[in-house]
Amino acid sequence: MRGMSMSVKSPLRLAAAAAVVTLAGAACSGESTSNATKGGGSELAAPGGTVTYRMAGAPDSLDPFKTVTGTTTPITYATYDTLVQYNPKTKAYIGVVAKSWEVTPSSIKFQLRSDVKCRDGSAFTPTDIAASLKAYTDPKTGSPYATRWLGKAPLTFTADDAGSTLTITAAEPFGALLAGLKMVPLVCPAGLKDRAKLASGAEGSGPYELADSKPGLSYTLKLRDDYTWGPSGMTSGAPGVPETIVLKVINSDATAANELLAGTIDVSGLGGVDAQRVQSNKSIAKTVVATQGQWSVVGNEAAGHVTADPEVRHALFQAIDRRALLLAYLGATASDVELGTSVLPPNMPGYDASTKELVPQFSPDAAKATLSAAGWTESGGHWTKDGKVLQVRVIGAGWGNANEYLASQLKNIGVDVKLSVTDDNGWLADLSSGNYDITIFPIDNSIEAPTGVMSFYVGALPPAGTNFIRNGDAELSALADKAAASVGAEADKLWATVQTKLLRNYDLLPWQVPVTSIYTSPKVTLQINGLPSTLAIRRTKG
Amino acid sequence: MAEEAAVVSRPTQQLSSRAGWSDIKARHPWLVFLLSRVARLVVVCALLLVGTFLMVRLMPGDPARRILGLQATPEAVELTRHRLGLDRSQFEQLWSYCRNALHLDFGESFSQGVPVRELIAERFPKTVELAAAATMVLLIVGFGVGTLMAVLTRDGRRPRLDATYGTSMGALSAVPDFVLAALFAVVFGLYLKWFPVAGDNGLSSLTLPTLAVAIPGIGFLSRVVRAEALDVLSQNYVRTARAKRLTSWRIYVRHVMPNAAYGGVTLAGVSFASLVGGTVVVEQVFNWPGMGSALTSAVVNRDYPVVQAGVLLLGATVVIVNTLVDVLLAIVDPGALREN
Repeated sequence: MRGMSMSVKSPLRLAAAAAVVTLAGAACSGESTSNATKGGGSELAAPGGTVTYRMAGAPDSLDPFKTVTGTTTPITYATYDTLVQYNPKTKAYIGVVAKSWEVTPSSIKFQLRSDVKCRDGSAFTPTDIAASLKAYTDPKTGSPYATRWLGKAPLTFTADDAGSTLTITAAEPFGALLAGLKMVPLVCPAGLKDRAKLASGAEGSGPYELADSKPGLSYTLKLRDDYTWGPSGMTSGAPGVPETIVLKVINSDATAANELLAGTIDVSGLGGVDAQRVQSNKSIAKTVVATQGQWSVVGNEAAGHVTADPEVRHALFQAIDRRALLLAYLGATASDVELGTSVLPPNMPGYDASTKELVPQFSPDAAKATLSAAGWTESGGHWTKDGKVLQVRVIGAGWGNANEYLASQLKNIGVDVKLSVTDDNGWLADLSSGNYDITIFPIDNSIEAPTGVMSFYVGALPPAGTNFIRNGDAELSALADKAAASVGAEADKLWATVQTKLLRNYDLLPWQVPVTSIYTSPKVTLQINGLPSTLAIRRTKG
Repeated sequence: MAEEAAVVSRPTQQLSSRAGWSDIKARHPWLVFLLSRVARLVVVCALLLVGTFLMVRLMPGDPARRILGLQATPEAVELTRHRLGLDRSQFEQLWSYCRNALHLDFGESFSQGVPVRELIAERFPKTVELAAAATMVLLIVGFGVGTLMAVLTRDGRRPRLDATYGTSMGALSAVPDFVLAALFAVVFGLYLKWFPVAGDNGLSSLTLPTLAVAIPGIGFLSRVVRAEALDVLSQNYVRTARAKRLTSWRIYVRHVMPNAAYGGVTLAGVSFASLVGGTVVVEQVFNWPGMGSALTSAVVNRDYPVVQAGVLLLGATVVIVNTLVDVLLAIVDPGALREN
């Protein structure tokens, strides 16, 4: 499971859907910037009523220890609490079950709320919470995200029920532990005792209970009447909080748009032409939610590829008009999206705005000059060096017309391009095997910390790691490891250095910071404020 | 000498064997007929079983990586591959799949985590419901319009009507069902609000997907029926019936319809069988909870167990329906049984 609040299929992934599977579905780690362009200041209704929410795919599992796809998150984060959430807008963590915390590179001490209750009415104590976290780290559990969220080093949990504190100590420094903990759904003792219950129900302390499920079709959440400890004022009695949320699985964006316009669903993420169709209806509101992803263009740096030469990558990046590429991908909705300015997205800790100057600017003439300076000769419409023609294999997986446009921009400066556009599975296979020179690299919204983003650009190469660009700079990897083991200002400083080195070596061209566009019917508004999307739904009097 | 005798005796044995087989066929035509159909069914299912297994594995991409995403750690990918049984050899996977399939155990969906058997039990009846409704509409309208047009345009009568009919039916059969589905959803669902735009809320929800699936087939079927009916209408026994001044009703019901029934049963079976597997995109457009929409997602998600079981089921359905049609035809026309 990825951490995501916004359930729905990222609208900007268009038909490519999945393209990034991977990155797909995940969400905007809990809290996100919300900008209602229409219908924003509606008066809220009294708590109660029913809201129908579109899920873009069927959940793989309801069990938080097993689920791996972002499609489950609307259910998971409505029925299970986490220790903290993160607000990308303020770049600050907010407490859920935790009231406050003290962070060091190798430990976090949480002061917990004492009023948290499980679904069955029992108190959710620090000891219970420690047991839940331990269960994730237990190899027998087989949770696929345990090491990513909680680190590889053994953790020690010290719970003090009387003082309502929980201290987590890592055997080795792990700076992303707090970021990882915002993703971990806390399972109550009833679920730990009988894991089978988790496959068809939810044993958490979240505001909703899973009242009914028709696997692959629909899921019904019922509001608890005793939930008083939610973040950002999310309580059972808060104005507009729906009593029932029906999560309906609708795979097709076109069908979801029809249902939204017909009033049979109230909330849906949409992209492309279907988003434009819905936007033309004045009664439908749109909320643009910032995510923690960033799409870039990258080159394969493995030996034997022309893109192993930094100056070739530099020239290719100079040939790319990023804004035009965005239009080719998104069409009219491109205006919702900002261009990337560094390696990390702006709303992630460690982002360094000063690196903006290092991003190669679009200039076909400069690109040709860079190639000439690197010893390439242009003749007969081709670039050659030592008898070898400058030819690149561009791979992609849908993404509107972005791949085709990218290829055309490279051709414009005389590069021979072999374009291979498949589905996301084919693209992923090529990426993993290194069968490419240039590709768009879509990190959507599922990354919780800089370590996650950086793992694509430094560190172990595939298949041992996820350094898909095959960057063999050991020194840079060591620096990234040092940053990953740090916290606070020290970590920010180290991440800034890593970003600078990556951009100076033309390891990537930051392209765009994706957003999730959520459309709502007149009877609903979203109050994100750091909440997972299902918890941000409020009914209006309209 | 012995060899020579053997050579000489071989044709005699073959002759005797052929005579024996003919004898069995003559004595037990039904038994032979049913056995041959069951054998065909088994062979096709076996081919489908192995074919789908190989087919899904030829698709590029690793299901574990597909599920987990780019940022998954290698350990997580390996763990998931192990959980899904993908770390075993291809032969082991095939053997396990075939063995379990014989017990109607198709494993657990990679992407939904539920037993495929449960998923099929929930989804397949909805596809059958849609296909059956579409087949009924297709046959009633197709036969009705085809027969009516044959009567109205026989012997070169009403040439303008004939031309208009031919053109409109040709156009109708050329429109893909998904285009009709999208059009119907917008016009009758969204703007006119006569029917739900999507979902499964009873008969009203079934209407638009049924029409979207059936209409392209009506264009084709009605033209076939018209041609067949014109042929029957030109037969001597119909002329004789007319010469005897029998009523039109009696001519059509007693003489024309029974002769058209043979083709009707064949077309009904073929239509139903093709529609069971042909509703995929329409189900997606109307979010109809059938096998088609489940299969589409399964292919995208590289959900091997669902694709394997779904294709096997749809293929087996086609073969079973065709077998039933054969049996029905044999009952209607025992002469065909002897020819078989």
